[in-house]
Amino acid sequence: MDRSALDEIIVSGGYIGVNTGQAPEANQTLISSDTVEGAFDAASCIGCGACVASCKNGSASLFTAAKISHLAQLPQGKIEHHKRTNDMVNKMDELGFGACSNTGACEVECPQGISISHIAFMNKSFFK
Amino acid sequence: MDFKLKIWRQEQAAVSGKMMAYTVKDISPDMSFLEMLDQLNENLILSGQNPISFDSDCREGICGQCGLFINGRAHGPRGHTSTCQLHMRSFQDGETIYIEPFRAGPFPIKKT
Amino acid sequence: MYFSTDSKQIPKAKVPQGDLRDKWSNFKDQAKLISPNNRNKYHVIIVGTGLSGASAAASLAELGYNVSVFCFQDSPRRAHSVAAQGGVNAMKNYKNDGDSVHRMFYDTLKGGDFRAREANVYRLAECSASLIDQAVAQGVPFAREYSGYLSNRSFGGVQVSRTFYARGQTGQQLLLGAYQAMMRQVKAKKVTSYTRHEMLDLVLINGVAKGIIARNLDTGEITRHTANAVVLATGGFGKIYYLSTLAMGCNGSAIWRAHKKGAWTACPSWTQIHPTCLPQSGSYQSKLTLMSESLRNDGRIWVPLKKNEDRKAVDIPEEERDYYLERRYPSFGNLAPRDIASRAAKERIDAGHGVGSLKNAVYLDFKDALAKQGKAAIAKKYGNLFDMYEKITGINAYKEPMKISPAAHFSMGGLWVDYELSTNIPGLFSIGESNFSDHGANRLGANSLLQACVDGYYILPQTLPHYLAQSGKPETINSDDPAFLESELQVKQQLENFGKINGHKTVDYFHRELGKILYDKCGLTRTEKGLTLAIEAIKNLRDSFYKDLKIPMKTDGINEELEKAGRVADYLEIGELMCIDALSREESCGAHFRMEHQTNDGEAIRNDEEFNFISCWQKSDKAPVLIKEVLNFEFTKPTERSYK
Repeated sequence: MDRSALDEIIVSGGYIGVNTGQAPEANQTLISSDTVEGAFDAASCIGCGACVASCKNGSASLFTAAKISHLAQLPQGKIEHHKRTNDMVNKMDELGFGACSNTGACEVECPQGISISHIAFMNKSFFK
Repeated sequence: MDFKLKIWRQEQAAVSGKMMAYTVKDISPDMSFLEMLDQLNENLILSGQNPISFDSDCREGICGQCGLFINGRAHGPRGHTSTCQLHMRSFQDGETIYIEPFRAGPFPIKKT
Repeated sequence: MYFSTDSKQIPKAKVPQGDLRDKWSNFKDQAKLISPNNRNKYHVIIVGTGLSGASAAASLAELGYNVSVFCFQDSPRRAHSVAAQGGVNAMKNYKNDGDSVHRMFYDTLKGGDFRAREANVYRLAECSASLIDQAVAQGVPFAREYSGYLSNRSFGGVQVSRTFYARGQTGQQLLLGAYQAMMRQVKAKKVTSYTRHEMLDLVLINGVAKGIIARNLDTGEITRHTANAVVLATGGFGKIYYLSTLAMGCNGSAIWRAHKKGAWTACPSWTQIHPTCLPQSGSYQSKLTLMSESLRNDGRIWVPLKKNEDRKAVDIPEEERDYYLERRYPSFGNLAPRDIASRAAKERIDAGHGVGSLKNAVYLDFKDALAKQGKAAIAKKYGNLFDMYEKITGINAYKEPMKISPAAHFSMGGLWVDYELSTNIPGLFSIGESNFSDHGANRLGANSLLQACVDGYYILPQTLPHYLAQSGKPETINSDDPAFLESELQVKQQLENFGKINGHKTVDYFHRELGKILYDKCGLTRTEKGLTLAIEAIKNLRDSFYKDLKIPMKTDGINEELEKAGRVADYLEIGELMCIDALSREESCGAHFRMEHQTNDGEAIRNDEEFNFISCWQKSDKAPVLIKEVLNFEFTKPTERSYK
């Protein structure tokens, strides 16, 4: 199947806007181990689309929320968080993915065990 | 192990598809699900039939390219396991296995 | 004779003048630039979207060049860099354990058995620290100490801790960082992404790279793409061994087709056989899964002292176990470099001490580490690897040792490139694993991610514009040029001919047979006799391929067998050159171990007097031609590479 729609969601804002070459010293911003591990849990998404396939609404919320949550948990990703969330959620709707009705099917099938709590976080940020 | 397979076959997005029946024999329980399909394809090719198209690349659960809907579940019966990491020991000998692509409006089917 | 030597051609390595520490700065200071408002007049093609390709695409696009990227996968994020597990090396000296750029340079050069260019290796170490900064800024969640500072671990072949990691998924996280940076440029309309496209030929106009021919794997359409420069970032070709740690689609076709257009291939037989992979369990197997080398930080490798031991591992008492790496290499122990660890495993397995149902494995045991550190600590470091092991084998490695075995993993060899990462064809660059540059005859663990990133983020964005600036005004290339038309025709004919053979064997049959020949004769150990036999066997197999191949006929639409046929046709040629390369090198160095050249206790004997060069192979209508780039050690003295 053609899953390029997932790439389009990333194109709409799933990144930190940093240019290559001139980043600040990595230890300049300290990040607690728990924060990084929390971000990693979300970042481990492999983009397979099982969450979409198992959702009765055909929603890509788990995929989208995982990227939003990964970046928002890190200090370097917080700055663009609200714009990123709006852009990615709107893109997801535009591409024809359904809405989340909290059935939890995605979390059960996710090969990486990504939690639906990220979706709650995404929705909270989106409606703010 | 022997299995009966019911596989969704569809030539392209624009034409309709249907379930087709296949049989595979002498499958090792240590074989991965995709290696079982490799073996089926080998037989189909040698007998001049159209092999089944399925995505896979790294076959170690990290690239995200594989994805089959197996017995009504994305990536099959084992939770938190991608299709390529699923092994035939997770199935019963003689079982009928239903295999389909992931289905969603924004994921058009190319070929199965 | 299987090859001829051309001693008149001297490869131009283009290493800048000055002290080792100043060379890269000197290059950058003198490199020609293109002004920002002219950059969008240039178009660059990058084939491959792994770490090197994606990072180069993001970087060049940010500079203002127009970039087209091609990958055969359905998304750029699936490139096989994603599967690298253990970590990425960088000289930060956060541990205060004596690390320095020079030490990292020397470790890498020595790890490669002094068969790499000093200046390239130094630059790799020099740029490594910036990469960590870059990746953190992109949101790569590297492991941290509880204090919030970045954490490190050790990898094979070094005595300092310079490996940064994100659990056992470092490659995935670095790749996603590069992929996201690239997708940001897709949004900015500076990068055009062609997924499900496979490059099938390189097009030269007047000897200069000007584009590629690609096939759309969904529709079968053959398309022409023009550019002012072409970059191959297509990774390694270890999948030539059929069973390997690589992804199913990894292949050597892009670099081989460039080779057929005149690009030199350097040291193609130098393949890293990784010591810690899951052993083969049956003939149906399609790949061998890697278990990260980081496991050797805490796991101890052993085999039973008794031959053909049939007791379970847990029932074998301590005094009947042979911890052979600790015994043979007391100062590095279980962290001996990969080539040495793999060869030591093969030696024990061949001597009848192998374990597992096929007696083809050794134990990797966490018993002592679990007792000392507790299950929670081990799970935090390696939890996902233990889970993966259980998914594949059904065995719980917290309770009994893992069984591991060597498997083909990384191609040190590849397209020859100069200091500027340019091949000998003007306008054709090669970055990451697809080139031969920094790793010499053996790559150290956690240096592959580093090299891919450094090539893509730091080197190519300096050297490629330098080439464009020298090549005059930006020209528009006509895709109807006869060179494109001829190339397209040849590609189409080849594809149609595969279908017409209509024999009795599948592509995979030929691939498996080739893999067996190469593992046996051009793998961990090589002999003159074996290599000669292998060359004949590969020729015969190739003949049989063109007589007896069977694939579905159609060339339009999805046809995986047709894709594989093209790749295996190339493998059948690359495999022969690998054997010729191994045959021509009468010494043992790094991963290249000729049985005729070893000490009484089985260590490699390098021959610096006769073989202190990189073998560059040029295609010829007759036998391949060997061109030598003699290595010049200005700042170090090659020594015996000992880890004892």
